[in-house]
Amino acid sequence: MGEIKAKPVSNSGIDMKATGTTVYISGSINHPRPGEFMEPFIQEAHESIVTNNIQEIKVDITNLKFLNSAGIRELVDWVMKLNHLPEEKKYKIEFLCSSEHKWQESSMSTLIYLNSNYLSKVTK
Amino acid sequence: MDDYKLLREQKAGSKAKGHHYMDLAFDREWGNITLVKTFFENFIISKMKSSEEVHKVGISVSELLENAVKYSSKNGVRIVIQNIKIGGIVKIRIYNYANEYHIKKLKTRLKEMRSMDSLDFYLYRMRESVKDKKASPGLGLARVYHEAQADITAKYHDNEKVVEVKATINLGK
Repeated sequence: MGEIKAKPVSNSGIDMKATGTTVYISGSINHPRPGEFMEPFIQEAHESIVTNNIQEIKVDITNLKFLNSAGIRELVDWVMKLNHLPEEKKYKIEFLCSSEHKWQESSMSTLIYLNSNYLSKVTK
Repeated sequence: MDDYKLLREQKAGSKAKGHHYMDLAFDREWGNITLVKTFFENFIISKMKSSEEVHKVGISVSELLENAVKYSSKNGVRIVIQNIKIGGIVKIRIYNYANEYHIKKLKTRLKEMRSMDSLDFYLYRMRESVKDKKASPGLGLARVYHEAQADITAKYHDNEKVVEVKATINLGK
């Protein structure tokens, strides 16, 4: 089974890395333009997933204390990249959330509605 | 001239007996958003038991201040929080200087918001936010409406030089 290859990011209080088929996003995102560092990482991870025909990945945000709305847009953008893939290239994303961070319950539950066939959420 | 003068002149409710009331004005700097959010969250944590209540106030303060800092036409942002009490109806008022373009945008956004329930509006704004990545995401109000279940209104003062956005959050819900 392939693994996600994407250059880790550590910027403005946020860390993004991929290990195996799991992407880890941690820290706290309050940056006015988080897309400057989130978008290249997500693009690289997405391309790697598609190239390696990975069917299912996990995105672990259990240590992501806060994500501002500009950061939420970057996750929405990822989902839209997934939605635009041909059916045979689409992959499943399971978001691993934490009940400690209240924003995750409402915002991530809403995000799932953008493609409930391929997105799911597990709260620890 | 005092950058905050016109913002401070706006009437912002009053302190009720047994409720906490806070009124703060500060410079329009991005770094101040997290500082002010953390300050209010820590204050509210000391007064309230539920992390859900703290979250609702915290997310509203953070997103509304982001909007104020982004869209303010000149220096100065004022935040007033009224009725801080367990199970109370908290009112958060944010004041900033405005320009015609942003007032028009705010009016449009609020009109859209009133035509949908909070989940539909948040989903709608999520989809809209990625259509033009150079533009501001425009997700903040939708997030406050949905995550904090806030009632959001706006008033315009002094010939629309100052905008007041008010989020009313029923913490007893």
